[in-house]
Amino acid sequence: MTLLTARGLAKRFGSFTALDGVDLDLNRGERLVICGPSGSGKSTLIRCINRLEEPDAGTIVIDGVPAKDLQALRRRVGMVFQQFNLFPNLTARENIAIAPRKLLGLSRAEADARAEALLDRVQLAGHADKPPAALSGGQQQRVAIARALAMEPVLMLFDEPTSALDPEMIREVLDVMVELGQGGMSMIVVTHEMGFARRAADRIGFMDQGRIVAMAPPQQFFDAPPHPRLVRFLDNILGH
Amino acid sequence: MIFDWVAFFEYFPRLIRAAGVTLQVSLLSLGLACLLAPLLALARLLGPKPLRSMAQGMIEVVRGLPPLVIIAFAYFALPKVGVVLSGFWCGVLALGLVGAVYAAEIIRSAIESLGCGQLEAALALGFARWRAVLEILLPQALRRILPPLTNEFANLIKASSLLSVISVHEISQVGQSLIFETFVVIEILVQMAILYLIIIGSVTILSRRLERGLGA
Amino acid sequence: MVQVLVRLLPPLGLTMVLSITALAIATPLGLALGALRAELSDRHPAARAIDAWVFFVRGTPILIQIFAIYFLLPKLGLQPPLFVMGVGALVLNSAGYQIEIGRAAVKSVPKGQWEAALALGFDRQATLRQFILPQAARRMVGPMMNELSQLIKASSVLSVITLFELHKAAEAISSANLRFSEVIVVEGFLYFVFIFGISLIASALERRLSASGALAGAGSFAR
Repeated sequence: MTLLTARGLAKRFGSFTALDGVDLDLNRGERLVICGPSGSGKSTLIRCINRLEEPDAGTIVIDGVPAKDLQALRRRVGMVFQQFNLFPNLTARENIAIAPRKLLGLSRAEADARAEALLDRVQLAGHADKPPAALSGGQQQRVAIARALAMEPVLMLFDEPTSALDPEMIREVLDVMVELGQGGMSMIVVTHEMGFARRAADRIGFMDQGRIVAMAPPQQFFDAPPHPRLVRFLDNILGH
Repeated sequence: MIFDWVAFFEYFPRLIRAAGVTLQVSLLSLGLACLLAPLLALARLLGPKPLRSMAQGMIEVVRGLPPLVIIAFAYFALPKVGVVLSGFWCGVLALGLVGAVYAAEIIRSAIESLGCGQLEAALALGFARWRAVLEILLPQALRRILPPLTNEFANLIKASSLLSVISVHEISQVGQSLIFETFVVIEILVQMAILYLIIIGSVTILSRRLERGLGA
Repeated sequence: MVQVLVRLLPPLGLTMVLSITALAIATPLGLALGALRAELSDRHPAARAIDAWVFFVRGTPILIQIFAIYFLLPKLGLQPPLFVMGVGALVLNSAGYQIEIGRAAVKSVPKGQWEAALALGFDRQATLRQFILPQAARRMVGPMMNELSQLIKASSVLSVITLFELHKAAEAISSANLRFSEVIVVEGFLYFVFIFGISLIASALERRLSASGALAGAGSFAR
C-alpha cells in the first residue's frame, strides 16, 4: 500500500535550514498537495525525493526499495518544473520521445507513438511538430507533464507547476493534473492553488520553517485548520 | 613611393604557395583542437575532482601564455625529451593545443550558459549526468558554440604567422625573407596583408553567417 | 634557475612598460573612435576610415602589423627608436580592437538613457559625454583588463623586430648557455604570473563595478 516513506529528511544551504527533519508517507494512488510560505522548504522536499537535491540526513524508500541507483530512481519518478524546462531545440514530440528512446530502449516509432498518445491525452494533438518557443506557457507545461509521463513513472512530482503561468492558462494545466489524479497516479504537488487542493487532493500538508506542521484531508484542512500558523497562511492566501 | 606591379607579380607565386602552408598548418591544428577541446571541456565539467583540476590547470596555464612561448617550447623543449618533430608538426602541435584550450572554454561556457533547469530536467527523467551533458545539453549548446569557434579559427590562422620563428615556410616567413632578399617592401607587405585578409575574412564571414543562420 | 630569473626580470619590466604605455594610448583612442563610430552613419568617410582600420587589424596577424610599421616607417623617411616602433605597433593593433569594444559598449547603453537626457534638453554630444560614456565605461572594465593581458601576450611578438624585451632576452640567454627549455619555462612562468595577476585584478574590479558583466569577453589567444 505504501509507495513512499521518508524519514528524518534534513537539508541545509549554508546557514539556512531548508528541511528540518521531515517525515512523509504516501500511499499508492494518493494525491498529496503541499503548501506553505516561500522558503518553507516545499520545493527542497520534493527535490530531495528524486534526489535533485541530496539530503544531508534521512532515508527515502520508494516501492519498498531504498533509493540507491539514482538513475533508476529518477526513471520511476516523474517531475514537472515551475519553469517547464522543455528542451528548446526539440519539437514537442521529440521532447516527450527522447527519454523513452534513449533510456528505455524504445524504437523511434514506438517512442513517437507513445509521444503522440500522450500529446492527445494532454489535449495537444496536432502540436507535435512545434518547438517549445511556438507554444504558450500552458501548452509548454502540458508537454512537460507528457514528457514526465512518457517514462511511465509510479510517482509524479510537481514543483509549483502553475506559478510561472498567466492566469488564463492555469486552468488548462490544473485540469490535466486533476485528470491524472483521477486516473490513479500517485502525486505530490507543491502549489498555492487552493482550489486545486480542495478539488483533487486526498491530503494537504502545510510546511513552515523546514517542517511539515500540519497534514489533513481537504475538508478538515480548510474548515478546521489544525495549526495557528496555517490559519494565518490561509487568511493571507485566500484573502479573507 | 611608387607601386611596382612587375615586382608584385614576380613574387606572388611564392607567397601563394606559402598561403597554402598557412592553410595546411591552420587546418591541421584546427583538427587537433577539435579533437582535444571536447575532451578538455568534458573533463572540466564532468571529470572526477583530480581530473577536473588538472584540466582546469592546463587551461589556465595555456591561456596565460603567449602562443609564441608555447611554440618555442614545443620546438626547443620537446627534442630534450626525445620527441623530434619538424617545425611544421611542432607548429601544428602547439597551435592545436592552444586552440583546444580556448575552444574548450567556449564549449564549457556555452553548456553552462544553458542554465541548470535543462540539466535538472534531463536528470529528473533519469539521464545519468554524463549522458545528460552529451545527449541533451551539448546539442543545444552547439548553436552557441559554432560562431565563436569559427572566430577562434580565425585567431588560429593569425597565430600561424608566429610559426615563422621556427622557420615554417608560411606567409609571414616567406614574405619576411623575400623582403630581406629583395628589399621590395611595400609590394610584398601588401601581398601578405591581402592573403591574410582573404583567408581570415572568409572565415569571419562564415562565422557571421553561422551566427545569423543559427539565430544564437 | 635563479640566475635565469634575475636576467629575465628587467626585460619583463620592459614588457610591462611597453604594454601599459600602449594601453594608455590605445584605450582613449579606441574609446573615442568607437563612440564616434557609433554616432556616424555607415557611409560617412570617417566611418569608412575607422572601419578600414578595424578590418585591417582584425584581418591580419599582429606580426604583419609590426612588419608594416617596421618596414614602412623607414621608407617614409622616419627612423624612430625601436621602443617607439614597438609601442606604435601595439597601439595600432590594440586600438583596432578597442574601437569595437568602445562601440559595443556605447551601443549597449539602453536607448531610454539617450531619450531621458535628450528629453531634458541636452544635445547629442553632451548626452554622449555626460551620460552615455560614463555608463559605457563601466561596461568596458572587463573587456579592457582582458585587452591588457592580450597586449602583454602580443608584446612577445615584438621580439621579432629585435626589441629587447622578455622573449628576446630569453632567446639571448639561451643561445648563450644552451639551456633553452629551462629559460622558456621561467619565461613562461613569468608571463603566466603576470597575466594571471591581471585576471585577478580584473575580476576584483568587475565585482566592484557589478554592472559590467554583460560585455566580459572570453578572450582569444592571438592577434
